[in-house]
Amino acid sequence: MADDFLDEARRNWRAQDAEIAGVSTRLRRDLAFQRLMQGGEFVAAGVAVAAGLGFAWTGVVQGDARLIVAAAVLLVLLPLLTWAAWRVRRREPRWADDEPAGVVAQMLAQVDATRRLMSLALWQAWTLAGTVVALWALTLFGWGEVDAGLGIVTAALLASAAAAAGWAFWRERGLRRERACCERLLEELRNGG
Amino acid sequence: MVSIEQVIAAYGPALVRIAASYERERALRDDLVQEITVAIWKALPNLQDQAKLKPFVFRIAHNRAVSHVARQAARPGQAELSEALRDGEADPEARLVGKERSERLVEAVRRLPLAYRQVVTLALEDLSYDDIAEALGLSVSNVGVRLNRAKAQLKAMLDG
Repeated sequence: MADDFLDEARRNWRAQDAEIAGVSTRLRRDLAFQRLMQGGEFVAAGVAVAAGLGFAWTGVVQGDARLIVAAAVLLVLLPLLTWAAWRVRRREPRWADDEPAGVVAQMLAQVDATRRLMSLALWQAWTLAGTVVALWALTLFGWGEVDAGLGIVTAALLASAAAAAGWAFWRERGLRRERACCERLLEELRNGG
Repeated sequence: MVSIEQVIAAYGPALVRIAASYERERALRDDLVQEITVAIWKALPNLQDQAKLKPFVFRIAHNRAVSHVARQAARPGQAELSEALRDGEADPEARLVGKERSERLVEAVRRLPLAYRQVVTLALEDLSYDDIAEALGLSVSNVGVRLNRAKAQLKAMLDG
């Protein structure tokens, strides 16, 4: 059946600028970058584990409790965070399998999972701050000496803790907005407009 | 198996137009096109029936675009696209070029509620009711209802 309105609309629709030059090139570049970033995360976690094992070994050999505490932080926290980030990424919606409302519902679940990850980042910040307290306590109770190394290490740990906490609070605000938007989109899609 | 290059060659301009129905700003539209092509590239090995490539590609495009709208909302200072458009916040530049029929149509499509916008963009890309139903997970009769309502709203906006 002829539909003059739709036929004219189709002509106008296709008259818009829809340049696709460079899409393939950018796609290849983006995919390579994604692989690089993901590989980099696992390499960083591997380096942290190796450094942690090195610290632990040196700490045991030298009888330095501070190195053992630093090793424990490296061995537990970084691989844990890498694993959590990897799990969140695996939750990417199934773009080809779901209808749009299903995708938004999955996104809601993903937002909630990411918020849990943010709690983990906050927990990490508290752990780093606690490590600083423990290192100074160990030093003051005679397990080591107050030196420049201790100052540098604890300052770095505190800076990492502040960065992790700041990032988690900032991300949490964005996630709340994303969640509210998902709820509105879901309602719009389920109510058929 | 169909390659991503073949998909881009066949449907690239349509994907850009679909992205434009969600995102007015050029740079963000290009980002969205990129996100859609990455999602298609990842999903292509799961395509069972080559004859269903068209609804498969457009389903991914709309799904990715909806998620893009939600993620944009998470950025500080970013209003939700559909909400901002419905409030009639077209920027002055867009209003000037909006005299062109094509621009007026695209602007009107952007102002449609999401459920109608999705159906009408696929109809404008010449998908059959069956393919639209397949792409959006709707019944064929529901596609007809939504398309009629979308056309009525579009006419009202274009005539108004």
